[in-house]
Parts: sequence; structure tokens; C-alpha cells
Amino acid sequence: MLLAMKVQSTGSRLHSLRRLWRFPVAVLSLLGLLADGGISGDELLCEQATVSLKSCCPELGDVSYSCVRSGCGGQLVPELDVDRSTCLRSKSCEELQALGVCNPATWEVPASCASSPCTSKVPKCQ
Amino acid sequence: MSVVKFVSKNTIHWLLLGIVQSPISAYALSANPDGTTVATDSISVGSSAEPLTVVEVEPSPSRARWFGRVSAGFAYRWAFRESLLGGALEAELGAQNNRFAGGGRLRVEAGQMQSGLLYQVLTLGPSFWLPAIADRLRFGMGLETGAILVDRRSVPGSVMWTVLVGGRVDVAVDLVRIGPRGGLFFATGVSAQALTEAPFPVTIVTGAMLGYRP
Repeated sequence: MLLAMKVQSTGSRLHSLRRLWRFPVAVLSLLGLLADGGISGDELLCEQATVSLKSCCPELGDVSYSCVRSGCGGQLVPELDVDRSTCLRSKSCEELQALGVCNPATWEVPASCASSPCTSKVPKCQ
Repeated sequence: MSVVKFVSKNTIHWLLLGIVQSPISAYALSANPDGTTVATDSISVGSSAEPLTVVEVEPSPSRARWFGRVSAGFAYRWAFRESLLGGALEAELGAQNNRFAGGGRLRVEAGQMQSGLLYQVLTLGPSFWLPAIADRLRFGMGLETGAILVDRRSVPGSVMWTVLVGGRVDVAVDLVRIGPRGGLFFATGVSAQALTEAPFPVTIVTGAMLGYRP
């Protein structure tokens, strides 16, 4: 009888432990998913284009544009749009230098700034 | 003849003493210098000239012991429709018996994407190892959840990240045995993970690692 009581006690303790760890795991998982910043395709392309830009133009310091997408419904979008990022990534260093990409004076206001004033400028690419 | 039972760390030894100068009839309990308890249980039958015989009795297979392993190596990952190359560190802690081992595994991976962006992956999850084949080859499996972080180049010091959840299968071969269960091993495996928000929702990783299991 004592043995049966001991087994029952151990079983209920294990059951309680299982229930105990489920709750924090569920909360952490939910928080993780809610806080998930996510990596969008245009953000990644913008950052990849920036790598090309900085490796071909080492004289360029910090870039003046943003690659961030955030806000409800993506209110903030990368200033290097997908077409421009793809174009910059497809060019060789010689082509980028010939286009004047390495000279920030030739950069233009991004399309995302058309509706609201901003100080950002992005390299031209055709 | 005298029968002496003593318990070392993992094995119960029955020592049949053929030559006993003086009969032992008391139950004695002492401790080894390494801290393990040694119990001697003697039955005195009398003196004779029989040879010594040691019979080892294996411990119960269900007896659980600590299990741990650490490994390091290179990792190849395919994610965001491009190749990522990096290094990985893994640590695993759990329990084992004579056949199975299982526990929790922490994996840290860092490297560079083909496009030049730096990335890091941190995962945590349960792992399970099947009984060894030919005493050297082990197959394992596990689940993992964590995050993949990609460093931004437009704003140095900031990252983009997303959650990943997946499973993996592993194989490990002992290269050098150290002690009854420990050793240096070579491990490889493949893992597939789903990304919650990314340009391509799946990442696959493989690699080769060298590790130590105490």
C-alpha cells in the first residue's frame, strides 16, 4: 500500500511538473512569435545592395538611406526599392563606378519620399 | 571460502576469496578516496587454497546517468535562396542509460552569407540518441527552435531577425574512446527549419563537427 501511495505521489508530482513547464514555454513561444521582427525580401535586397555598394565604393561612409521595413502594414519601407536594389546588385564594381554610384553628389531622392519631405538620397541605377 | 561484494561507481563486483587468513563475519561500510561508497558484505566459510575469482555484474540498463557532449565545426546553410557558410558550436546536456541518451541541445552558429551579410543562428531544443551500432556509431534526432539574425549593413550594429522551428537528424562516429562511455567523435547531420517571416520560408543546414563526450 505504501508503495502504491509512493507511485501515485511520484506520478502526480511528474504531472504537476509537466503542467508547470508547459505554461512558460507557451508564453515564451507566443512572445517570440509576436516580437518576431521578420525579414522581408525588400529589406534583405536593400542590405545586399548596400554590401555591393560599400565593397565597390570603400570611400563611402555611412549611407544616408534606410533599409528598414516596419510599422503597422509596413508604413516604413526600404528607401532602396526592389528594382533599384536588384539593379545595384547586378552591376560589377566597374559599372557602378562608371554610373557615378560612388559619388553621393549624384544620388537622388528616393521614390518613397515623394509624398513626404525627407533628407535621404539613394544612388541612381539604370 | 569467502564471498566479498563491493560496489564501485558503475559495477557490482563479487570477489570470491579462496584464501582467507582470518574469517570475516562482519558487515563493513567504507568510502573510497574518490568519494564513492564501497560496501563489503562478507560471508566466511573457512580457509582454503582456491584461486581468486572476480565476477563482474553489469549495472541495471535502466539506471540513468548524466549525459553531455560538446562539439564544434563548420556549417553550410541554405537560406533566403542563397548559401551561407559559417562555424557552429553545440552543447548538449541530459541523461543516458546503457542504450539511449537524451537531453537539451544548445547550438550557436555564425558566418557569412554569399552576398556578404553576416548572420548568426541560436537554437535550443530536445535531442535524442539511439543505441550505438557496433559500439561506435550513433544516430540521433531532435527538435529545435530559435532565431536567425542577419546583420544590417545600412545601420551597422543592428540586425534583422526571424524565428525558426525545425527538426534534425544526426550521426556520430567515435574516433577515440575515452573511458567506458566517453570519447572524441565526428558528427554530421542535416536539419530543416521553417522561418516564420522570410523571403523563403525554409532553411536547410548541414555540416561536420568534432566533439567530446565525457
